[in-house]
Amino acid sequence: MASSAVALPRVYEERGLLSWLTTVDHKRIGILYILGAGFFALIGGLEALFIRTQLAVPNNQVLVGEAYNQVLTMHGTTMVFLVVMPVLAGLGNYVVPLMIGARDMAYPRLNAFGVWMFLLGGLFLNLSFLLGGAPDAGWFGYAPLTAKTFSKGTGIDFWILGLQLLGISSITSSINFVSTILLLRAPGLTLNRLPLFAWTTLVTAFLILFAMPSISAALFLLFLDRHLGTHFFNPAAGGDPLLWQHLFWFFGHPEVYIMILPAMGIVSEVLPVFSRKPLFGYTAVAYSSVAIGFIGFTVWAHHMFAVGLPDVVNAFFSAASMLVAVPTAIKVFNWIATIWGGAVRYRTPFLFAAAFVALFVIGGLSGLFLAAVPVDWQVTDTYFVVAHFHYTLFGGSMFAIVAGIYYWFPKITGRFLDERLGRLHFALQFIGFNLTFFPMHFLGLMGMPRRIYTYAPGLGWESLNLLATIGAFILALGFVVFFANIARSLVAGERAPDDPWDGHTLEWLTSSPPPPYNFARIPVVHSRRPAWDRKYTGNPHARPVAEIAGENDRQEGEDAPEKPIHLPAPSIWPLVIAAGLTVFALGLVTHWLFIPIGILLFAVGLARWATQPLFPEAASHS
Amino acid sequence: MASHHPVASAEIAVDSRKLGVWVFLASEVIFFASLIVSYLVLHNRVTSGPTAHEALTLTIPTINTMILLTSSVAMVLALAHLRDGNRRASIAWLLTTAWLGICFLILKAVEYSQHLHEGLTPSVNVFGSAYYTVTGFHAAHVAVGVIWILSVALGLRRRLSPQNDVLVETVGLYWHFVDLVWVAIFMVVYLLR
Amino acid sequence: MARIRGAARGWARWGAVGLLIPGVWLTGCAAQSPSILAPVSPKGRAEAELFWFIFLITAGVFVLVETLLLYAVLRFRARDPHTVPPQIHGNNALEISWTTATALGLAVIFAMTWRTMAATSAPPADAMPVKVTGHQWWWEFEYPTLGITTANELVIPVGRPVRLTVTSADVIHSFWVPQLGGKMDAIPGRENTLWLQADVEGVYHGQCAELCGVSHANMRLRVRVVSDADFQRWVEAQRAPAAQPVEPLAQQGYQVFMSKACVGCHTINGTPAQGKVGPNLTHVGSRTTIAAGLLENTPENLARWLDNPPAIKPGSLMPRLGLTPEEIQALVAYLSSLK
Repeated sequence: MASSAVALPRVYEERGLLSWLTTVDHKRIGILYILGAGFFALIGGLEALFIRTQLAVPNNQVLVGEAYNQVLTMHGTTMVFLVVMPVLAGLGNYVVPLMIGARDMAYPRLNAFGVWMFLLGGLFLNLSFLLGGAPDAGWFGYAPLTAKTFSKGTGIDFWILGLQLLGISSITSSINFVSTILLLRAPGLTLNRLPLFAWTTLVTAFLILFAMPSISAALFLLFLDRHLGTHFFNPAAGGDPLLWQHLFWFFGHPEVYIMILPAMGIVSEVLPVFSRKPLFGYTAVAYSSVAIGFIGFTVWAHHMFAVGLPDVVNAFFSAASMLVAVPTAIKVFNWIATIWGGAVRYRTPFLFAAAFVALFVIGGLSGLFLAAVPVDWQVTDTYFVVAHFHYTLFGGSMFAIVAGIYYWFPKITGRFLDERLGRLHFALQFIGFNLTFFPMHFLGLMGMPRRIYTYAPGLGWESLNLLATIGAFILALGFVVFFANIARSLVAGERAPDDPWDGHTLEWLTSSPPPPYNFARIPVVHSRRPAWDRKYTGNPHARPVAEIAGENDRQEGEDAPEKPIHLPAPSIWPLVIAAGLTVFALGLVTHWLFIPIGILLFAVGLARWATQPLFPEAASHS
Repeated sequence: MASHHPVASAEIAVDSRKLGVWVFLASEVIFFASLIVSYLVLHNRVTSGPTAHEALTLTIPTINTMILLTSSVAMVLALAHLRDGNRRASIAWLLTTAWLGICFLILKAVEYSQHLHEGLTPSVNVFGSAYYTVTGFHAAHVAVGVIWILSVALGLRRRLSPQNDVLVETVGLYWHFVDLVWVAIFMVVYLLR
Repeated sequence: MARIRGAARGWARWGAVGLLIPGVWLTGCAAQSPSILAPVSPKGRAEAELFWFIFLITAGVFVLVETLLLYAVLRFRARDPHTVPPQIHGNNALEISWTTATALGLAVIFAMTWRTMAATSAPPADAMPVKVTGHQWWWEFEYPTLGITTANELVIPVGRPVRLTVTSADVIHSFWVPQLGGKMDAIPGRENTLWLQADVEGVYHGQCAELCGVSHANMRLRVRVVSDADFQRWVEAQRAPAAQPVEPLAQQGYQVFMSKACVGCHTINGTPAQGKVGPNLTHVGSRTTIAAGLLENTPENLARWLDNPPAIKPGSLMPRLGLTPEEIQALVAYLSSLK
């Protein structure tokens, strides 16, 4: 599709390990995020299977006490920080610049640093299994269980520092998303035309920026408590365990929206395309994302209804939590209205996106029970909560993520994922998911607390637990099919054209996979569905016009002479800096000798980064 | 180099590096807010050892406040001179800013040593924990600022030009932010003691 | 098209049935489970009523939304892949109506929530005070007005309100007996208040609901709700000093207890044993369970426990003391005699 008038840029080496280690291309970085998240998903999934195996029958002895708590903690931490967040960051990295007609992210090297920090931080966290035991105090790490008195090993230290490293990654990638989406949109792509996935990614970036520092501060305080003898969370010396909970949940609840908003964005892209209609109520859906973001910062204490806060405080947080249901409901109704009256194509991305709506509704409704304080006093910290958040984060986020992967796979690889395997995967995942998590609602109501590694027979919990375990294995089988589908399709998948789904947004205007510079000419945008509108004229019945994407992509304004395209140069220094921070953290937990090595790597990396020009070609011209 | 840096084509016209620093600082606000809130919650719950009222005096922190406010003026002058094309003056003011930052750190160290001498340590009580943590994280930010200023003034001095004032402007934003945080700490920790 | 509509209707019907089944089944299961939907206390009943109220509304919303979704997906399947349907961008009237409807529904749920909170939060003035202290991994119950300290089994008179002051000696725990009402966190350095009242005599299962370390799952408790007369008898028995060992084996057990590490951690009123780390054993023989509700209080189980506590409760602060079988038998005889 490249027009002859454009001088194509020098493309850097694209082969070999070194090209991946030094890449600053947002697409390759996106792929690294997704592959990394996939790897950690295998670990987190195995942990889930261990948990379900232990709980299959009463008084089981597969994973007992300490070991269970480690696996439980790592399952939660992994799924939140090493799977859902990075895979969404990865899809965002790959897709958002394409969607908004940018050549790359605003800070390509910072972007590379973010992915390396994620990968190394994740490895660091999992290293704890080999070096004296993984963290074991739950993903929320309530003090004072995490204090040195009660957790003597290094597991908690790995957890603290691992989350700090991952936090650095999230903060840098969020700064990047904000700048990219605010500054690098194609001409004509106003915020009011921004694709929903870009909208939700933007809101999510702000959520990360304002939520993450709170847990980061809390983790520092905990680290000081453990190693400098400070008393922040030590009640004996005037410290306050509830301070931890407030700081944690001020992060922790927005974190939930961090994991669901981009997923909602994906669904808001997939449903319209496969219904061949525009998103119903674009403005309502976009602004409800912003509303969820704002309200998300005022609900944190609904995780703390049972800690003994005054009734008035509980009531405030209860009301705020219920308020979140309004923008959420707006989205759900708009998604259904999007499908309504459409020409629906049952391809795999659509199946997962529609299932997302169906399952997320359940998670949203069960959330209302938890927002109602007196009911929460009964069901908080039970399997009802486990059911609730898996319906939002697995039935919700994970189904949407899978929809997104089926949807963008042809763009990323130039090949389709297999449709028949996709349907099999969908059936297994849908059935397995509901079989695993629906019974947990009942278990919670029947008095089964969460996070217990065993239970006595005779309480009526046996059959439902066994059912959940069977479901978990069906679910796992679904993911085996998924990974097999990916592996097979990478090699032998059906070739995909540039615009395989009759898409709406800019990424479908470039080739599959896109060239390193994304677009030879940056397209000019005139509407919310630039790709669709190039294929179908704007008459009310939207009859198709003859042109195919790409052949007709030179519209008004695009004939202006382009500046030469310069691609940012590859750089190893982001990786070196990330490695420096990781080695430094390792030194804090294991041997002090790593500390100077880490500092050295960090300092050298930073100095070289600061002095290495981003566009050496351009620099030599001027 | 600067001319190739992405600058807005859409509604918002601002250098991406400047926006990045702004966004980062917004995030830092929450970090310091979390620390300061923790301090406010805990500092009166002393069970033994010196309290805030007993341990803190105003002399050094007041001088330090003057120093940082002066340093912000110096930073403003550094940017103004660079924009006027006077690189040498700009570098001189940058170095002045960094020097004032170093003075702040030296005085802070003197203050800490006085506290330690009087028995206020991070582990003596919950006030000590919160006090050292809040002021310590701020001091660390000052130290990072000094290093950043010095690397711009010395390491990148050839790149400084009126067209590339963003190098000074970004570190300036950071420096003013660190100043503001100090003003907040001065009020919460010292004046409200 | 009619076929699809029929299918959608059928699905909706199945959906409604599917919702009823768990409802009925839950009530049935309540017989054996410590279910929150089988409450025996005023507070628990109020909470269960609020649950059912919200369930009614959410079930309605669930059926409505899932039916609409399913209908849309089935009804609007494209027969011709090249169809371009009418391009509808939105409808403000619809947006306003579903926003308002949702907000109104939530307002009703919140009003009911507030009502239930107001009705259940304050304990009646004449409530009997009990101090509950969570330990890794057992419960301590202190009746300050009666001068009784016991562990893992809370004995209360039927129909009388009890005010629990809940705290912790180490990490955060959460006191929860589902059939008697909601839980309350036991937080070190804080004293939270929770009140409960049981209207039916019986034994109610409870357990710690906040991850508190290795044996969180093994931190169980029982509430024994007894008649007023039985309660008075129990109080008198508990207030008496520990029984003097009579049998020779029990006397030997007394000697073992007082000469081994036991005294460092446990109290037996009226003896030199005044340790405060573990449960008070003055009347341990009168309890129905040992090891935080893990084992029935039988001589065999007691012997198992004394031989190797961490094997039964991983992480147990009571270590394997290396007692000989003879010492264990003597201790069992002594402890069992402490009725």
